[in-house]
Amino acid sequence: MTCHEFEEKINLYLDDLLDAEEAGQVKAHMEACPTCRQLYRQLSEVIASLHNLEEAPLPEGFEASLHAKLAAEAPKRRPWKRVSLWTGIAAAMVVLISGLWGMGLGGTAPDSLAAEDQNAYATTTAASEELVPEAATADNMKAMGLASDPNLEDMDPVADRATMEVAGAPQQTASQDKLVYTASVSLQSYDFDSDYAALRAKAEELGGYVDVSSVEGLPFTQSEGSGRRGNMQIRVPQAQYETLLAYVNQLGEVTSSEESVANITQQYTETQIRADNLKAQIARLQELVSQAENIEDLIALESQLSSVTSDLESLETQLQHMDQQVAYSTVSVAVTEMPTASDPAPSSGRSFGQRMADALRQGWNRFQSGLQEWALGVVRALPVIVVWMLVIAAIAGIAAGVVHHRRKKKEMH
Amino acid sequence: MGVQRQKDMRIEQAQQGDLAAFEELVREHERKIYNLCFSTMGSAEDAADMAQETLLKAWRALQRFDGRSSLGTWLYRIAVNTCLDELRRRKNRTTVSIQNLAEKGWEPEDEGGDFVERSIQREEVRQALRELPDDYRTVLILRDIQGFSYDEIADILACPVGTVRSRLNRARGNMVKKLLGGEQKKRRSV
Repeated sequence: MTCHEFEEKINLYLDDLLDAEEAGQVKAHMEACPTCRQLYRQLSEVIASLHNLEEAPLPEGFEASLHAKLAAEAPKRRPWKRVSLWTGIAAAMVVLISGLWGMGLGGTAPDSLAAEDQNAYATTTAASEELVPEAATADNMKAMGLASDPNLEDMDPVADRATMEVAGAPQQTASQDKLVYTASVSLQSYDFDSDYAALRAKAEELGGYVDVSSVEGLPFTQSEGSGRRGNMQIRVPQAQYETLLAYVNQLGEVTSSEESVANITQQYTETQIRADNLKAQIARLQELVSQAENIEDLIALESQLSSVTSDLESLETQLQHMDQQVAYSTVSVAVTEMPTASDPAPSSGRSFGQRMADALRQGWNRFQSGLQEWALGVVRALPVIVVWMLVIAAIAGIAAGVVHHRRKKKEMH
Repeated sequence: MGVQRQKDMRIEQAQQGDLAAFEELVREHERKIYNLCFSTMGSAEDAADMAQETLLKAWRALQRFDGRSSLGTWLYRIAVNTCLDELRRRKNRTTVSIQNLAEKGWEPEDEGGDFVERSIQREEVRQALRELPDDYRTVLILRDIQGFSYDEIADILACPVGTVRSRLNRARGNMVKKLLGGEQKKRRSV
């Protein structure tokens, strides 16, 4: 071993980090080399003096003032940072989704009635309407000087007899009242063409036909368009009346709905009786004509005959009309086209800048109302939210426990 | 193992904000930290400040302690860095000179009489320590005063063991020169 090597190894020797062989070499060199021996002694002394440095005790009040400083620190954050973050995210998602779900409960379009409310409205209207034809019929009866009960055959015996003698006429019993069903529905459509065509198709499918149809206005997709309005009067067999009505009510957003049932049995019967009377008259006149003795009488008779005949024709037309009304119920549908989100705002002569402003305002209003709707949805969904929050809190507790456990495991290594 | 587990529990508690747990954990290291600071800084007042600063930093940063090293090593690392940072900040200040020591009443000649020839006074050692370059001083304190192993020192200083070894060699050599290189001085006083 050289002195240089000795100097390299001496500190390790002093710290007991050499293996037996190398330590032996160092020792041997020391014994042989005075300079190195001295170095060894000097190092030993210095190290010893360092060891001997008295370990100073902690000054008085050290721990007390330290405690004060530590306690003054802001409260430490809980280590469940990541868990809290995910909890927050989960909670936010729950509120958001619950809000949307709650919106679904209440109905989506902000400016239409709630579905339940609308049904109530329609029923009330129909109920009040139904009373009207009853009253009307009663009034008619009173005008005729007859009893007000529309369902009873409260006629004079002559009429009765005449009724029964009429061949081929439908039996006039209470269970076979002549009822005229009429309905009038207004609805809003977001897909005008499709809905309007569907109406027509449904009518035909049910064995009915479109009596009248008119469409006015321009679609929203056109630059000056403010939406179309269609009016369709549909006649369907009486048996299909309810079916068609139900279909119409679900076709679009119903804004108004009226139904009425007119019991025209009385009128029908009276008209029939009058017609029968006229027929009897005609028969008598014809007999007289055949027995006419001179031209003047003949001319007078013929003239009366033609007048009575035309009266009869008119009554028969009325009867036919009434038959039609009973056989085919009427459903009038007014369809109003509504702009969809993709339709441009009605421009009607506004400049592009104005239309930009319109679009901005429209977007902002939609956003506001959407936000309101969402907030209402959250309120509606409150019980659900509470339940979900509890679930999340439970999961967070478990997750924190897992993190805690995992940290402990790490520390043990 | 039981003690270790208990320690782990304390650490968990401390990390969650339990100040009492933290104080219990650091109590066994306080004196050593104080002495480390004392040896590094050279004055009791600075030592107290630095030691408390160290523990305050540890308290704030406890969340980031991941248990890879022992708590002690982690604390000493903070202590070393805190002291070195402070020393660097005071670089412009004059180092304590022998003149200052004389003001404190240190007279090398006085020890002459009942002085067994190469005994080195504590104050002398401390002075020599103060004159060492920061890096050397730190290693020397950790090894020969605090008694840490080479590996522990490497851990505390976050440097390779080889670096520790070479610095220690230089530091000890330096100390020998300072304290015993002036052997002629001692002989003269006899």
